[in-house]
Amino acid sequence: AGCNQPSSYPYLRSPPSSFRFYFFMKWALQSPPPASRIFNHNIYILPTQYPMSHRRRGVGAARAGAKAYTKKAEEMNAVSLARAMETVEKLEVKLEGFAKTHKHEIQHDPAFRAKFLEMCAPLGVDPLSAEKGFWGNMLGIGEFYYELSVKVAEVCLASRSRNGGIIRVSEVKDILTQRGTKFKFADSKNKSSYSEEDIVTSVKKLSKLGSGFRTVEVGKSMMIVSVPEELDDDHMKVMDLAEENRCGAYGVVTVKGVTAELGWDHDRAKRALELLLGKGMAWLDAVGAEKYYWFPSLWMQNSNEMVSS
Amino acid sequence: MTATIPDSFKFPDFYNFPPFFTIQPVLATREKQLGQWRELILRYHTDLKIKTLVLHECPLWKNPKIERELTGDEIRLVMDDFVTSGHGEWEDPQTRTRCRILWRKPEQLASDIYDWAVSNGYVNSVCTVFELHSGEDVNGMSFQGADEELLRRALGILESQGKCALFRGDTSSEDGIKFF
Repeated sequence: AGCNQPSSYPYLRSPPSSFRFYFFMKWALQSPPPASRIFNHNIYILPTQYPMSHRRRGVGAARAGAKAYTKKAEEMNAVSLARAMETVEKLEVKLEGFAKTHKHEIQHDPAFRAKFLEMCAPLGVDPLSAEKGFWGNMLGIGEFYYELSVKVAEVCLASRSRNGGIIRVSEVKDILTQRGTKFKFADSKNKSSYSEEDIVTSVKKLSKLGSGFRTVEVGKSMMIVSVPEELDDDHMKVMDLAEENRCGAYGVVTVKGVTAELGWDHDRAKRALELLLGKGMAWLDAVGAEKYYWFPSLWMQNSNEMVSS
Repeated sequence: MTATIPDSFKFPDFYNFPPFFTIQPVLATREKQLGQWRELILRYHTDLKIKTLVLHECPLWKNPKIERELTGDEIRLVMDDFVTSGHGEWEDPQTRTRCRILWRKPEQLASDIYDWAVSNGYVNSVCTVFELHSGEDVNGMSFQGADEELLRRALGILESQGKCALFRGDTSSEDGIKFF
């Protein structure tokens, strides 16, 4: 005989196979819990809420039952989705209100701005788009990042002949600060303040435009690359060495140093260094028979202490 | 005997970058580097008002702070590029040991002089060569204190452009210039 009990625990009995699917569906498609518990992970199984009798039926009846369950499942999903969207919309409204209240901090305080952007991301809100609409008009920080990315690009391009198209984010900030760069955006009579993080964000904007601009980490430094050529792994490892000051002096490497630290053979080391020279990212320093390879992008300007070796 | 560099002269950052003293093998980088050398040589001689660079006396080729210096061949390369770019002229083209520094290119001086003449109302009137390099009116102008030889070159350019005419004076300093 088959088992006919209502069962919250499908593993209690093992019914004959023709009803296995039936019981699985019954268990899987529980009726919806109250709406207030939509994000609640505890879903309670209430046998009395089964829309259909659990008595033994024929196979045809089982199929009809399954269809009803599917329809119910869809209804449930639609309800949960609607509720979820309602919640998100409410959050968006709250976010807009927050932005209005804290407009000044968002526009002028880089740390606050960073946190705010963090809040927006999971909601899919992009206040960075400079377009018309609430975010563009009210906050205008899309404009800010646009302006910043143009200035960052200028600095990178101007320094390319010196450093081969790779430059530290901190150096870009120093140069812009020295220039006393002002931004048209926002009602600021004083200089807008922006952080290295802002610069990185604006480069991300640039890279989305397919400009070849991107950020890359070398050792502990964040750098911006403005040339479209790929920097392969070997190059990056060599630059890491220079940045981490593992070859005698900061920002410089030798073939010997590279082979010692990275375990490469002489040819591989030489090839990587020659390639970096060729790209203009490294400059040669020949002292007698010794050859040193310096990276202008890593070299400190006020390097009186660095130079001793 | 190399001259000593006065403390007042402010060296550019790249003067302390060791590779600056190795002529770069990669051409694009070398271009940048030679441009830096031209800039340094010109500014050094202009700021300190030194008219002639004597190769073996010039203190720029060596930076003791970072223990780097240019070799003899490298110095020649830098100087040849400097002269080619029009910023200097060999006094002795055969041996090339003394180079006259053109603080400003004659063409640049020419346009500076003419602009000054126009804005100071010298058009259709005369002034002397002396007034050009030492007159009261020329305070701060690029041609103040300039070599007469250099001034003549510039005036020659203006003459060929029809912007002025030269008149003989009692001494060369008193040669007159009429601007049009």
